[in-house]
Amino acid sequence: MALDYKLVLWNPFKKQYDKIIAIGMILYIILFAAITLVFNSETSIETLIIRSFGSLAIIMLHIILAIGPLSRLNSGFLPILYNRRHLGVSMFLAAFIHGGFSTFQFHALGDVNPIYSIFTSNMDYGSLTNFPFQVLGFLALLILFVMASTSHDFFLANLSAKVWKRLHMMVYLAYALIIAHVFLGAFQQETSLFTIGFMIIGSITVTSLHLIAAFKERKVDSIKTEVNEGWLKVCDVNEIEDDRAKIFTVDKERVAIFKYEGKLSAIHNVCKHQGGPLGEGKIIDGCVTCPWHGYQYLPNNGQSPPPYTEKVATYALKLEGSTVYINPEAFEEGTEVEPCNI
Amino acid sequence: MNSKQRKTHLVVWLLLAIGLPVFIFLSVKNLDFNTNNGKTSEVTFKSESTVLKVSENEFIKVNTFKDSIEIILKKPLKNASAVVVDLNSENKSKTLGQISQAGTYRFQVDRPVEKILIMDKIKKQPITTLIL
Repeated sequence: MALDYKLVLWNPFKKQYDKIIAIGMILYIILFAAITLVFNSETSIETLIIRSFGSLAIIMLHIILAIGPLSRLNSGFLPILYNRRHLGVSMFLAAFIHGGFSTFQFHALGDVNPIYSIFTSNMDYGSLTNFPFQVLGFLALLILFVMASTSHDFFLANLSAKVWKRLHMMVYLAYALIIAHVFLGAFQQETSLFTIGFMIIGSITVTSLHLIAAFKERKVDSIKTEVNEGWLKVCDVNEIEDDRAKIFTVDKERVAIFKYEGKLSAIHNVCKHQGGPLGEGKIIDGCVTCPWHGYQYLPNNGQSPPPYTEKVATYALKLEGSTVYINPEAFEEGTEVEPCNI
Repeated sequence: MNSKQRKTHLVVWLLLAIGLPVFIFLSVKNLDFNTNNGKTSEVTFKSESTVLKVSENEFIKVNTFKDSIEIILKKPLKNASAVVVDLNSENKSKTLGQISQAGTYRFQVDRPVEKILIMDKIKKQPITTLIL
């Protein structure tokens, strides 16, 4: 966790995912080059590199954007979420190769600064069909660069989770810029029903997944419950599986109520690392373990086991018969609370 | 995510869900998906007029019609700028237009064309000439 910083926390699963990413990227580039050369043998190597890496980056970005909502809709996708950061950095590298070659090919051989040239070589900013689309791609690449370079936990810990999350939500702006870059650029010059269809289906799929997941979560947040002398009724104790949690909403904030070793404890549902849903994780080695990146917290006090320092808020619980009640007033982060014996 | 982040995500994706289709529609509505354009034009040209003369060199092929000429640029030129100039016997030149990528270009003419000059206007150098 965040005690010290290693370049990459490798484990066999991560290595396996990274191999899949690398092999997938190489296969795509080879396939793209083969198909292009079959149908257009006069394509230059520069054009081939620009197009293959550009399209690869767009496909990867769509996959990356779909992982989050898919994981919220189906926990089977959580292992992919675990490796999303590496996929994001790989996507940036593909986009960087595309942007780098494009800048060199179209702007570096003149007598003005290539970056200046990107912004000034076409000043038709008022046109939709002849818009200087390379500017949009350049701005998107800048955002992706900032995200890739701050993806390490060092920046997460030093910028704070709140700032880091806001910074990384700029991926949505980058996505909009990239859509505009493609539709105002490549398609205006070389119209292809197949590629436009792919982009439209991709954006509809990603947007729909995010909206479905968001509305599903909104429904969970709006569930009303019975109030008994200030305590909120949660559920029957038998509804909670051993070493698992029931997620409950208190004043629009989610709380995870864990059942373990014949006891119940409640902690805030949001992991301090990247905001992962702790209640979708399980108790491993006596600790609540975040399903996203494996950060751990003790269920009775919300503290990461020493020497780690993360803390989340805790809540008081009581049992009446087999009914679980929660006190909606959260304790300070890391406050010890006596577990409720079943 | 906490409740504020969930709300922000929902608002962002609602904006994208509304904005992207509008933008995509505006950007693709003027695109030409008709891949048979070339064939259609060829048929139209043939039915409209007859080729009076055909001339050719390494760079271009020129079909002369009654009131127009058709220039087929065989391969991309290395020059940054290429302009088609009509040269008559009195050496009075008239600029017809610009050519860039390999392909077919058609220019209206109001006098018989005797000689075509393709010129690099930036370097002020002739690229090729062709007597029709």
